[in-house]
Amino acid sequence: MTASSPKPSEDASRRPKVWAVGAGKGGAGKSVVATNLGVMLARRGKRCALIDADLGGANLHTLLGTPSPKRTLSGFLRRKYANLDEILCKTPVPGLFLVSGSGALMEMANPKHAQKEKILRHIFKLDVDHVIIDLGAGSSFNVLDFFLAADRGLVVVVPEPTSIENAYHFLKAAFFRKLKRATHLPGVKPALDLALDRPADGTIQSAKGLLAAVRRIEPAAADALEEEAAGFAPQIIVNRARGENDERLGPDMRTACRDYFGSKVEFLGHLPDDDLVRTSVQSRLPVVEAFPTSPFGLKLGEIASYLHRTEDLQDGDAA
Amino acid sequence: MIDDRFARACEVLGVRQDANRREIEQAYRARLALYREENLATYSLFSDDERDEQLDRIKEAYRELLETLGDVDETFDLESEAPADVEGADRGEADALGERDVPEGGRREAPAPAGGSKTGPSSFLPAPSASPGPSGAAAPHGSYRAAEGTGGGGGGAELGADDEDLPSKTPPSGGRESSEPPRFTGGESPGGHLKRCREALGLSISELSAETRIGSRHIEALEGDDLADLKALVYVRGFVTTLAKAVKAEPVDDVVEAFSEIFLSNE
Repeated sequence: MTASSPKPSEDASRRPKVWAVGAGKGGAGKSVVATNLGVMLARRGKRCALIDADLGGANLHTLLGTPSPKRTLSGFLRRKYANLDEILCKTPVPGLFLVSGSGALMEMANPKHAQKEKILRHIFKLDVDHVIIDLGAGSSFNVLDFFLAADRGLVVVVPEPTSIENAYHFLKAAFFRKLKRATHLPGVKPALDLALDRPADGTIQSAKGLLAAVRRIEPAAADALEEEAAGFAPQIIVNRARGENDERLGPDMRTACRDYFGSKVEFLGHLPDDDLVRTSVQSRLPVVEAFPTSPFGLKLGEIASYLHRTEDLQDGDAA
Repeated sequence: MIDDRFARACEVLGVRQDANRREIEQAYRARLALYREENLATYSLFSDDERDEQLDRIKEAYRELLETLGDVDETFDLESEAPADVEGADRGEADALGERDVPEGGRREAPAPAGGSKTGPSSFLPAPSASPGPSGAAAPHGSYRAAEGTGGGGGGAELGADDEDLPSKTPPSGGRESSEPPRFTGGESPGGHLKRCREALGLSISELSAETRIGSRHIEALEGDDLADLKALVYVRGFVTTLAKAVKAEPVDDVVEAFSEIFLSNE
């Protein structure tokens, strides 16, 4: 376990599978998706911990209809509690637990690197089958590191150019951050810096283009970077889909991302625009509990089944 | 290695190595559609240069695969897009200007609403009097040449000159005329806008008719917002798109929509 990759290497079967749900932009529905995935896993008999890592704007407890938790991540970071098990809150769904960021003080919205590492280490020690992390919006290093540390990195987008734009910004930032992990190896950082210096307007080249440029400078460096790149496999969910065009967005994004990043970006499925989601949120109930046969609920169920089925095929390094 | 190139070409188009010609064509067109500027799925992912490079790769891959089928046909519509996107006059134009290397279909389309219609302007038949031909039926480029006094038709040198324009994101009218008519705003008469644009280019109705192959009486009627003679929306949209592009009535989409609304409210 290194500082930049805090995943326990031994005993991978005993530790929880960790999924991180991000969006790049608020309002895409990632909290609803994260919560309801957790509920479905728990209903299938898995012990599941939802982690509200949106430290400045935690609201998973609201979506679950549990009272605002007293023991929170901020208390953990202030060392009131030795491990995360002490701040696991029960929820109305048996087997589903919540680690909340609610009640966090303003400064907790920007945990320092060491604090973030601490949270991550403890996440992997939780005595549960699954952990689902609801990331904050945006692409700060903390958000990116949680995303990259997970076994699966899910990205929720809606069919709007602003959401797509932010999601791509997020993915590029995550990809680049992942590449940076190889820079401790000899020769990699100078080669990468040199390759980045090239574009006249200073923007990041396409990911594939960048790697090709590094290869021209220093093939060994390129090998190291490409190994990091190959492990970059975020999984996209298109939310609030209406109609055929929206449904094509997911497969199209998958193709575009594969062309851009050169790696196996996946599309998990689209979730329909469903009024029942709003109704259930307003009632502070998870939609898959309140309306299990709603269009949203059914589609999310399919996605959850797929994720569950392919769990054992996952490497430790999905994102 | 030939095999490597073949395998890479299959990967670029997203086809299996035993794909038949129809599958290859479909994949090619799907990829072109994906990398059109208006496509939401690639929005902000690629820079303009990268997008162009990707399109080049796609075309190369397509040629590569056609060659392996022993099937390279120079007159084949390399430039046209998926059938849903390009109909009638547009395809005719691509045929006419056959050597063009950039799939301009995507660029000619006015920007569609985000995430919206892959079908772009609704399918329309070519204007009955407009036939594809080298004198530039339905040709924004025809109109450039007319406006610039270089005459109609496609010659190598002219194609070359226009090729330089195509990677640009600006609408075809961008900056080439000294006096640009104001853009169409929703409230005004679309026919009046067409007329003003035509007049700004110094074109008479008969000149415009000759250029676009659309009958003078239709042009006159449209300039007067009179759609009585056009019996189907497809004709309205087709004619207006052609005319608007020819006289550089920007934004073309809005002009087309305004006419469509008139037609629909008359029904």
